[in-house]
Amino acid sequence: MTFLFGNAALWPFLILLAVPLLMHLFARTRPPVYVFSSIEFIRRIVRFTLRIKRPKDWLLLLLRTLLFAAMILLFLRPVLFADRNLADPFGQKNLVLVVDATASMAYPDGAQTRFAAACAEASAILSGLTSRDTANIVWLKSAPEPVFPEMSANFTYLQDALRRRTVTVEAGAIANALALAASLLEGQKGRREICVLSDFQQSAWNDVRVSLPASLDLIKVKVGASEAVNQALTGIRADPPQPLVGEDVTIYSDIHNYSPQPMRKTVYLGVGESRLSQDVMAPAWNKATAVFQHRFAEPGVYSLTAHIGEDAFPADDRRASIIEVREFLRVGLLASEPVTAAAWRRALDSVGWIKTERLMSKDLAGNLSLDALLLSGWAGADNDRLRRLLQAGCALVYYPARESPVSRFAALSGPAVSGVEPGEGRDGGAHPSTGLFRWEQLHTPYTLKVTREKDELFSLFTRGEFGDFSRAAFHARFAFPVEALPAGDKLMAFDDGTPALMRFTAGKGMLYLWNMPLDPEFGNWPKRADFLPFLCELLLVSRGGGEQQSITRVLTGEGMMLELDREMPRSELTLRGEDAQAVPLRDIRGSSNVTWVADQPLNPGLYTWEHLDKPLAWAAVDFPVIESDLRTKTLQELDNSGAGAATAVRRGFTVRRLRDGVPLWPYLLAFATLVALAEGLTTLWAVKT
Amino acid sequence: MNHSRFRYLKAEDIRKLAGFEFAPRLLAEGYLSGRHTSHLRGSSVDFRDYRQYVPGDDRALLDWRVYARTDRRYVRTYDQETNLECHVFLDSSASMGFGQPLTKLDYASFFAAALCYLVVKNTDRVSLQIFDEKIRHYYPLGSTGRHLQNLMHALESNQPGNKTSTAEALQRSAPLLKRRGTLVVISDFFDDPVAIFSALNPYLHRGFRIHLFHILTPQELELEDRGLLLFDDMETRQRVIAHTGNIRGLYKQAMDRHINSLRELAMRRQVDYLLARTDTHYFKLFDRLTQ
Repeated sequence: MTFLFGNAALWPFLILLAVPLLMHLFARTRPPVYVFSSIEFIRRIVRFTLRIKRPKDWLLLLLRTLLFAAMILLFLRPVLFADRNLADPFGQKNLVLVVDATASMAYPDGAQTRFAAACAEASAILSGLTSRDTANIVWLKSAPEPVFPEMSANFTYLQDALRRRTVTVEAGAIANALALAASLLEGQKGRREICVLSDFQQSAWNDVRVSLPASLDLIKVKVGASEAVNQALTGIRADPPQPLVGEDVTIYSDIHNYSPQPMRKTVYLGVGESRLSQDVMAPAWNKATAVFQHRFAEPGVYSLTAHIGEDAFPADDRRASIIEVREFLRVGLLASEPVTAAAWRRALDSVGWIKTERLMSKDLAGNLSLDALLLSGWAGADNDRLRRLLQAGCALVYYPARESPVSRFAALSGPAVSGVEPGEGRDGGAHPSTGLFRWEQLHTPYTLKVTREKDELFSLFTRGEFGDFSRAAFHARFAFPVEALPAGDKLMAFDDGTPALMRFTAGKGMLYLWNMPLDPEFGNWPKRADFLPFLCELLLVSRGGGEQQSITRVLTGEGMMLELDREMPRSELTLRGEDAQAVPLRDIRGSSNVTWVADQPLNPGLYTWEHLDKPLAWAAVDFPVIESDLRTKTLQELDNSGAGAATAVRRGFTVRRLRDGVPLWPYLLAFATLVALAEGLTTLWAVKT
Repeated sequence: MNHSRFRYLKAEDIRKLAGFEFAPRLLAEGYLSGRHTSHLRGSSVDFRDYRQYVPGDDRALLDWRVYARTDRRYVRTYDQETNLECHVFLDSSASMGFGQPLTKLDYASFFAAALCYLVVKNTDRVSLQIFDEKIRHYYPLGSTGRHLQNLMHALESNQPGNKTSTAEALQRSAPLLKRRGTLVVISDFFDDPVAIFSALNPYLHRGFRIHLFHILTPQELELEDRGLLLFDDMETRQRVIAHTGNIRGLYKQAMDRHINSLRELAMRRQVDYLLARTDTHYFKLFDRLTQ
């Protein structure tokens, strides 16, 4: 805390403080002597009255001294600065205003939005600068940007920029903005100061750790109240993400309640031309999910849009996505071992919603678009290509070739097991045959048993309507070292515990190890009624890897881009929003491809890349969830946050008081008046008593 | 005897005092049978009344005839006629020098002189003790003109002395007074009332008739509002600064309490007390004596 005096030349007048003291002393000068017969009574009276009068005297002396002190200080025009570092009104100041333009600043606190309040405060701060000072503004958003490339004294332009600026729907890169502000102040002479005007959302600022140079002063000006409430749609998804025609689809829409009270909200869902709605009770500070059931009659791409009734913060009340409804699953069949492949093919050909493609090994080199690939008698070749398919979300069913190395298979789902080479065991060759899928014929037929009954794969068979696996008998199988495989799920096993079906996760896809021979010579399962539903269920459960591949999701502020491997005239490619308006594009040309980028910030919603008015790809711009929680940090939390030696203040008078100091003369005048009044009353009291 | 040459006993005062009959009021005990009756029981010519015999009474005083008739023992009492012995105690402490134009000591001296004159004039005996904190002068009983002259000279040469201690002076004087009589104390009584009356107790037990004349100036009774003053005590020379305007109310209360205290104690002990203001003539004190 520092005081500055506007009329420091009047300091010598402080000597006037001696006046009341002298008056007090002069008032005690020797009065006329009165020789009296006996002063015993008088002494007693004086002793008695002094007990009362002496405090009065001291009180009067105190009040008069205070009155003089207040009057002298009044003329000295003191100004109080709460922050000692800022108490230099006569030096040069370099100020960077970091104005929060993130989505949460659009929340209306009272008559104006937080952003408007921040801009007004920033403008007021700029008004207080002198011609010696320099300033700049950094907009805090996903990609912070300054108004001027360097510090400037053109405050009028900065204030005009504050008037013109609108709030974004983006999240903010706080650390980047502060670093940018610090870089703008580098090399500036005089006091260097960063003033952050923000609502200081807890969700955005909690984890911010900024290390600024010690020579920089950081002032945090808080706008907005901490009790803002909001409800937001934070997600929409379909299960399955790429359903088939006629398949039941479950659509989930998540609603978050950022308020201390449970809230009932109606979620409206648009699926293509259909409209659904559902009431959801969202608990306080938690989320709820609206669940919709739908069935598509025609294949195609449908838009999914969910929204809730608008609240005070409408930017996050809507979510959009697409759902691609397919007519059939595309299943590839690579038949190195013909008997098993024939059994699979017979089964798959009998299902209308599966389209089977017989592939050759060379086809793997092409750009395959498959939901599943069945490999029969596979010896482990083309692992890279298979891995690429797995990464793209394709399910692989692997029936190994006899005596093929286990390590080849293991390499598909994870890193190769070190030291295990074809024909070797893990123990360094003590059992050379253990590293292979060794064909083993059984004298006594083995049956199957389900080892993970709770798995989604078996949900159809729990009641026995679609058959019973345990009755299938096998006379042969592969014996292999399980420990040579990566960690996976043993879904089915033979009586002796040897895995019959294992599942591994690899990338977005799933990899199955099929150890159930379909040759009628070695088993009767292909002839059983439960074989076909099991195979179909396996393909349905495994499709897609849970991700929609046909839509790209980005957050607001992130660049919307489409990478094409061929040249295309700008006029042929269009990016359209839900309102069918075309978004300006620019292209970034690489060595072998062209990347098209949206040339303006995009609002949340669904966008379509079109080539010659035909949909090419879809993209959804999502509102950042972090901006929906409108709770803000308190000033104490801001003071204690790790952003260097910062001073946190509330907007308005507090900021001006911090920067320009508090002129104390009105307080001194009021104080002097009160003291004068008290002095008069005390005098009156003293006289009366 | 030409008394006009005395400062405190002027010829015109003597003329005025001629009309005062002091003796009837002052019932006293004298050593000579004379003009003043005493109700002390003893041999005398004037029968007073009967009273019940109590052990210790002189059996010679028993009225045997009454005893014979009533079978009860009564003694006869007589009024004893005796002369007056008057003891005047004059306070000459420094505080008595206060007062303008007439000091309290002057006023008291005028009164003492007149009283002595009246006593001697009636051929009674008077003594004078001038005291402050101790007995400064003691003039034993006398009834002659020369004795009166000595007293007048003593009064004229008297000056205000030291601190007041009426109680101590009375205590010291007790052994000097052989017979009971009348005690007249003239003082400003700036002393503890309880102590004063404690000192008077021996006199009361011995049957002295006591008159207290409390001499005060109007300025002492009510402080004048003279603003801030440095009060200088005449006796102790102690000083204190006080604003008369602020303290005069409390002072009056304190002085009234002091006077009332003296008056109440006097009443309880059947002592005659009279407050005398120096702005009134001392003759009025004789009026009180003659009532």
